[in-house]
Amino acid sequence: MSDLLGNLLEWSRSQRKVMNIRLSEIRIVDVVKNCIDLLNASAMKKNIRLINNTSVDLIAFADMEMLTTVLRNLIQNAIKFTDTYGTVSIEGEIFNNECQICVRDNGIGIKPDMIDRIFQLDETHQSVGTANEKGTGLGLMICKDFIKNSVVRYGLRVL
Amino acid sequence: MQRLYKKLSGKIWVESVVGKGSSFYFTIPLVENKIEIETSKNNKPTILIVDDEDLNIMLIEALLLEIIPHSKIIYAQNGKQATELCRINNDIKLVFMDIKMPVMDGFEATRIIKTIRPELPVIAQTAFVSLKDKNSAFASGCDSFIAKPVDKGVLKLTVNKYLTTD
Repeated sequence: MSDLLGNLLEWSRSQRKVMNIRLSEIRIVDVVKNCIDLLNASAMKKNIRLINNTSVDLIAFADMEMLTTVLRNLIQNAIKFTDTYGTVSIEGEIFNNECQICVRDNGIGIKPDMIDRIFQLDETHQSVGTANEKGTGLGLMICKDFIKNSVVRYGLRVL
Repeated sequence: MQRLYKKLSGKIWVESVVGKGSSFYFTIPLVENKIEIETSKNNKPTILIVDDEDLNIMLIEALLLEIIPHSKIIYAQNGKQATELCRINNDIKLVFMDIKMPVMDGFEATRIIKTIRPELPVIAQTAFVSLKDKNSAFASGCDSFIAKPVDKGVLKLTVNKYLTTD
């Protein structure tokens, strides 16, 4: 319930553009570690390994809270749709002069017809995980919103 | 030193195969640092590369000379040579330390260097990237860790972070 409330609040604030954006240089490996520490208990219930494969030298420019929210939601989503004894790894690298982060799982995957709608709030989405975890569909939508809108817009403002 | 915040498009997408898994990607702006190191000939930053493989030394030297053309590069082929160089050469400002080497490995060499010159940044570099390696590198006193083959972007960030005249 606290995840749902937190997501709703963050999304609502971002929609109303009242988020207090604090851009800073962030060492990705530290943010990933914090997220893993937070979600390890949830992963352990399904014997899923969370692996931090990000380089200690990868430094990005973002809002710490927003980046944490995106990573937390993606890792939670990966845990949800991965079977027991699976693996979720978080990788970070410099690609095309950008900081590219990947949350990779070896779970059940997504049907091709769902991929285009995965970041939309759609009641027809399957939101039940491999251990019958319930979801709201809000998590991925927030990720898209934060990455595509807030980060880009406020990043440009800095220039 | 001036820092450049380079804005690039933030993107998020997913790749997936049913039954195999999913990969969610997103991109955020990278912090790029403009390197402005003192260019006076009397203040050439000396960088020590420690590696028992000549090819690796050549690669990292070539990249370093692209990033900071006026730097002076010196070499050691094992940890013991590196500790001796650090003891006698105070001009060394940065060390790139291989881990698996004959005579003395990088962990032991870093421990000794840090007792001689605690302020000297030592960057571990190895092809064997595991959490255990990273932890061992930091436990021995390494300031940072880069994977081999060395990526130019990562090297640039590292050099800028540890080799400045601020």
